[in-house]
Amino acid sequence: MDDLLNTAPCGFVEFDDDGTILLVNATLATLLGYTPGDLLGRSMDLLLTPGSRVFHQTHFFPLLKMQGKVDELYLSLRSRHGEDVPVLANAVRRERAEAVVNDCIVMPMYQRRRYEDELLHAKKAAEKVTIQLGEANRQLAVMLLEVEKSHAALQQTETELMAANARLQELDRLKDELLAVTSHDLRSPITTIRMATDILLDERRAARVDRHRYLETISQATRRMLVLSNDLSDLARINTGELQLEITPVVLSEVARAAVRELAVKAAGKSITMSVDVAGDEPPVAGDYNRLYQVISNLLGNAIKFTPEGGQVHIRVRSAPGAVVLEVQDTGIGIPAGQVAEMFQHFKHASRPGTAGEQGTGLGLTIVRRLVELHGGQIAVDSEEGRGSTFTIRLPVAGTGVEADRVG
Amino acid sequence: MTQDILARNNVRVFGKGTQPMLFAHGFGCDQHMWRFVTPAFEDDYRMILFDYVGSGQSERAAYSAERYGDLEGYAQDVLDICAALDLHDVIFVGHSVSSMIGLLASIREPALFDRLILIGPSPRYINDPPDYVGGFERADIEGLLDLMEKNYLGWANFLAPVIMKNPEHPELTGELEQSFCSTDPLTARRFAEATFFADNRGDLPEARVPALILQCSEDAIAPREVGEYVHRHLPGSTFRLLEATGHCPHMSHPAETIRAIREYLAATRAG
Repeated sequence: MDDLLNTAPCGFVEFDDDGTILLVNATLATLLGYTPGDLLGRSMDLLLTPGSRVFHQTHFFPLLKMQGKVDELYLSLRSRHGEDVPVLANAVRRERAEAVVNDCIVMPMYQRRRYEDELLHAKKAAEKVTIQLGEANRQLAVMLLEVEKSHAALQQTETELMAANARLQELDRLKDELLAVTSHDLRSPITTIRMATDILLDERRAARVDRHRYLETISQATRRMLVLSNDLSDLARINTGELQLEITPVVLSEVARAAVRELAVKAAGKSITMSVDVAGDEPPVAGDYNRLYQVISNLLGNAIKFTPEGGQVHIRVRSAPGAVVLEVQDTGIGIPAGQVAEMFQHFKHASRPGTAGEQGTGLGLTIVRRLVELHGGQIAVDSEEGRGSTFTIRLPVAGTGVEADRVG
Repeated sequence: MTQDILARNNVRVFGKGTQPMLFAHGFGCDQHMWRFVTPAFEDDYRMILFDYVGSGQSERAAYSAERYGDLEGYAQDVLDICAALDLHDVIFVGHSVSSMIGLLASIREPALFDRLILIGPSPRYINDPPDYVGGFERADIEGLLDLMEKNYLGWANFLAPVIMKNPEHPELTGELEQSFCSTDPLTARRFAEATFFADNRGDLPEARVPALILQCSEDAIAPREVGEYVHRHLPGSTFRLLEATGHCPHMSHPAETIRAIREYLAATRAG
């Protein structure tokens, strides 16, 4: 080896494909604590750290073989005394003496390695922070989602609370209204009883009046009070869930005919014509006969009450898909437009006196509605002031799966 | 689906024969490593070359750290390719870590394979005292990973399209459009970890396919003791010591490697 190469300011080694060192300059040998003679004929593995040996076999040599050259490859050499020597290597394959050899120069890079180590360290730290930020971001997104869910839940709860509040306010109003109506409905018969008994107890005045008629008046008044008491009791039991329904298959048209028979006298008293339009072949509904009688009787009674002399009341029963429909239609005074929607909810509207001054309680329609609902049905009213009203109840056919509530 | 696998693993099929010969590269580079050996077999066999996902020109998007953090994931690549090409009676040629990958694939589907050719195999690289010498301590592998990391700082060089003239094969100049060994640094690191921290000693006795072990005389990565260990525990294996040194005889000593494979296939065919 000429002196120029031997003492060049970089290491030089030539090796064959076996990895046997063919040539090595003094600079490299000295760098690693050897003499050139120590290294000639030895394996390249002697110069390499264990990691570098793997890298040499898996990357360095294959690249050199395939591409004919390698530039700026970082390697870690091992000195005679076991120290790591970081180097940058360039290599090239060439033909020499009819054989292919690999010529490699190496430059120690202590300073550059320190600098690159710091760069790598900073890069890894930045990557770690990026990963941590990404994870924090992901967790934040999860938390935001939870917050959104909680917010939505809170809004839902708020909506429900507002609805519950509105309902409570409505109930409070209904309670006040019920008290007012009940008080009013009680006052009339109590006043009648008081006045009649005062007269009867005064011998002088009693002698001048028809005693029987006054006793009849007292009796009617007590009957009205009893009706009110029964209505209140029914409403209370329905609302508290104590009402027991005795469910059997009930043919609605039979109930309708019975109610019509019962109220025929009352209708005749006002020259009101009652007609019944029932096919009689409708399927039975699952219901409590007595309570359904109460419903139809109440609707018929109201129809008669609010129809003037000579009017008409029609009752129709017909089948519908999965249901039986009953209609009570009158040619009465009808309901003012603004009150139709509230007929089942405002006792005061329902407790109007009849066309002949008939008294009643405002509880009747509320009880009717609750009884229909307990049977799994619906009730609706269609009315025009001055022309009459039609009350329609729809009850499910027995065995259709929508059964009556067995309350209590 | 078939086309997806062939594209995913950059599969190349050529050769005039019918029996398939599947070449699996080791850790480091890609299928180009076989180019000094494959010409010797392409008249007699159907040659299949490929790159594992994460190496060479395989599809980057197919890489999954979960699948390829373990050698079973790579074995699945081999089985996927066999299925995609409907291969049977495969002669599997695996270098380095591909020896174990091929073994794992053959354990899962032994009926697919005719023979295994294992070049520089090692079932475990890390020493396991007192009895097992793999050749490395954990710190040595950490040193390799450190080296790989530092080289990727200047890795742009290897992505350049210009290839220097190869004095042995001037006709290769211009053939390689892109430099190989262009593996993504992160996937390369994971492949290194999957390779060098694996322990497949327990898989050796499960082999059902006859195998040839090609052992280099002086191999720092898969020392002779390791090759002999593999031979002792791999049923149906034949051990052949090469004069070649180093870890890549198919690159450094292709003629001897070709001869060893030919003689084995001829002998086992006659037997």
